[in-house]
Amino acid sequence: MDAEDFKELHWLLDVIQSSNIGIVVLDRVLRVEVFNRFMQAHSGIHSENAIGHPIMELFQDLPEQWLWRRMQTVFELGIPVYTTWEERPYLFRFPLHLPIHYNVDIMYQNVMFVPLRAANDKVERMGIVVYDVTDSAMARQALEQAQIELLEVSRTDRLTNLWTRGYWEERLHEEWERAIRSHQSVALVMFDIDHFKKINDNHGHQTGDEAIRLVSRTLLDVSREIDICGRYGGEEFVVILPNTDKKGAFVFSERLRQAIASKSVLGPAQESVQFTISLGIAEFNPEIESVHQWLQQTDKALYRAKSAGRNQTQIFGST
Amino acid sequence: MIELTEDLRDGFQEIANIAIGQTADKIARSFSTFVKMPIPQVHLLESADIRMALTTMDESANVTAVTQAFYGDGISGEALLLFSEATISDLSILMGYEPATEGHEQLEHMLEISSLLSGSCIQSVLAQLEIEVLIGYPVVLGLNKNLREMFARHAFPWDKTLALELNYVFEGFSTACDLVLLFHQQALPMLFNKLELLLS
Repeated sequence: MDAEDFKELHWLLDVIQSSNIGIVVLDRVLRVEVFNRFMQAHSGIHSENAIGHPIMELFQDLPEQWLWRRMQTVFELGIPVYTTWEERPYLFRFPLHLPIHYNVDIMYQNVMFVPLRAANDKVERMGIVVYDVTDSAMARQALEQAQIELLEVSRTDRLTNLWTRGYWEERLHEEWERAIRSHQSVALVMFDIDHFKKINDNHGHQTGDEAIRLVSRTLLDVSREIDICGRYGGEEFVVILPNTDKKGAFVFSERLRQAIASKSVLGPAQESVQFTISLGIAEFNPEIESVHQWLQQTDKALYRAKSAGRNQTQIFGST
Repeated sequence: MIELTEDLRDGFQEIANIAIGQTADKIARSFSTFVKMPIPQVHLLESADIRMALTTMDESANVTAVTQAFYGDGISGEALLLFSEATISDLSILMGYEPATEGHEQLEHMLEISSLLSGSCIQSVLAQLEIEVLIGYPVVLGLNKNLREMFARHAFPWDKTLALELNYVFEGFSTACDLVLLFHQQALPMLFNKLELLLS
């Protein structure tokens, strides 16, 4: 090697040292041959103490099996292998103490394993290149979080915190299809506030809104986590009760009806305003041809509850 | 127990002084602009209150902040460079460029001088302590925003942070900028050790 070659080698080494990427070279038994400054800075292990040592000894929490498999691909097939932070957040556990930059304390990494060929074209070493991708990981996670929040907002009714019509109708289709496949029972309940117009006319629209809020709160209280509680519009509500037959739906409906009958809201002159609800139930059965028909049956049951004197529950099909 | 003794404080002040000198020299050579040498401030912040370190900045005023991470031998830290609103428009002239009219041009000039101001200082401080350092990319933390708002969403989990604060004043310009090097708690034992070695 002449002086010029040596100079070139020198500045090439400098590039490896001062890059903001981690570079490690391992031999066939995973002993460290190169350990650049990035690796040194983040691991706290000086390169003098790293070179010649098995990588597993230096980083004891490395996934050994996983690393051997990667290594085999690189050595046997001679092709590079990649892993990204989305599959595996990091290979080397590097703590980050940079609260102005990141609100996480671990470095996210993309890692590349590359075959390094000797003069005889045989792969004798493996290079590991470590990219710090904490920035992009954070940005992606923030974006995903924002999307989840937006979705939540678009699915939730502002006044009541119940699901919007668009969303519960989507879920109703899913439950209908699931019921056809699984033969599990599922019931649909529809209800509305009795003489709601009178509450508005006699006590003002704000009291009407309060009544709707009270019904929603009570509904969320008595329902289970898996029940889908939605607002149909105005003073009308729907509840999808998975794994529930008409008897169970009746118990649920009566509990809701009694809970609301025992409560009241305050009107503009601090007057106590009491009101009741009427409910209709239709349990899914294979003869129902469409979601639309299912809703119609539930609506008919509700109509019967209304015409039979309100403040009660009726089940479609039973007389 | 991490304690900043008088000796250590003086030591850091001296190191910061040299770092400023070297940075000022680079600025003079690059832009033919002279930097008035400030007296660096060294604080060991006891509480989570980072704003305490930024005493020369008006908290309610709008600033542009650029941050740069640095690492070396188990030490890490963050540089925070704060430009006042007026400074930004002066930067291009100070650097000998045509006044920047486009936003991205202004940003480019700002990042260029940021790399110099903070990069050179970080390099010098750590080199004196014989720590090999890697410096990250400059990142704009906020453009012309209120300092308090900028940090409203940041959690500062540490108990103690060592802050080296340098106030750059450019000769012939009425504007200034503030550079704060923050060494967070985990870095302090090692950092103090290195300094003690240097002082002894």
